[in-house]
Amino acid sequence: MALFENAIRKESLRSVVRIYRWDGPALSVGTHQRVSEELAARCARLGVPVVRRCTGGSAVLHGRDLTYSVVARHGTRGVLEAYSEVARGLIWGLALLGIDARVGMGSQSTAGTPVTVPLGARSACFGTTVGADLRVGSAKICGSAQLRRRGWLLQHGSIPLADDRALTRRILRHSGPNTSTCIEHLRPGTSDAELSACLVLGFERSWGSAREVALEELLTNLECVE
Amino acid sequence: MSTVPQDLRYTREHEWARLEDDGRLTIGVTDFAQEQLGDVVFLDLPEVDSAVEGGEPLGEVESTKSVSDLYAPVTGTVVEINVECKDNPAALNQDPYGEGWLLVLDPSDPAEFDGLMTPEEYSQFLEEQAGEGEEG
Repeated sequence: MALFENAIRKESLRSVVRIYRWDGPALSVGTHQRVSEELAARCARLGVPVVRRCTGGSAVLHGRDLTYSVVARHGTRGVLEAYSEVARGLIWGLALLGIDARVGMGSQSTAGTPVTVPLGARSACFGTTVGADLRVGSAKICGSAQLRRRGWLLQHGSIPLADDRALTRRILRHSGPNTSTCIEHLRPGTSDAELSACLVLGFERSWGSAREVALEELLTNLECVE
Repeated sequence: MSTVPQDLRYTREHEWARLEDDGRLTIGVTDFAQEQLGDVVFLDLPEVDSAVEGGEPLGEVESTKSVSDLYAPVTGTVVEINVECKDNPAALNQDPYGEGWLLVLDPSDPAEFDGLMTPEEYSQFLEEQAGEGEEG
């Protein structure tokens, strides 16, 4: 978020991709998502900190995932176009691991649904797939969220390395169908360092070969934070 | 193809303004914007009586996949917000120029309205944006 704020204030005109891990289990919730006392108490009992994202969307359990974030000028790119630009790098990166990810067009969310935790599957980011997510087959492999402010975007997303659905269910108490997958299921034995390196290469390959890409300046500022 | 009503003025941030008989401006987001945002789930709107500055953020709109600032098209004072739309943000998607209006401003300088884009200019702006997108 600091990179984003700096970019907006023009203290830095750099655009940056970061790929990072979390210290341990943590639940991130959307900027306007209400966290019930019951959920907060459950997380406290399990030693899972709750952090609020600057982006929207629903709850994501971190800890056994890899998170990416992109800060860039969005120019004239709309929300889905920007998602598509970022998705290309992610798709290339996953392809290097032999994983065939596509932009998800799965079950759409419903406008007007109250954003309250816990409500059920929709309270969990990986409990539902919308058009901007990545999936492998019918299962979601990456959920993302975007903040747009003064010509800049911050987009971040989570790729589960291991199956955290049991803990997610325990925390969010939803009983919806399993609609997600993880790297361990798709390519057993993949380390977070390997995934991270492939994602970096994916962004380089995707944006480096584009004839005109709004986010190409990212290439000179690629960071890999492990 | 996004709808661009002829009786409104527009901003580069894809908001519309309608000049009412009493000189106040009703503000909302355009059909193009709601298409881009996807399902809107939350609206953060300013308090009534708050002063807003043209071009500055006055609130936020959260959709299923993004959080975007709302900007004041002109400088003025907020005299009304659409409480029904705040309670049911889906109205913004369903009827962006009708039930999905966001707020009413009392402009400090009525002439500012004339500086907003006409429907023709906004349509041209949309075409230019589409063209730039295709090039990328």
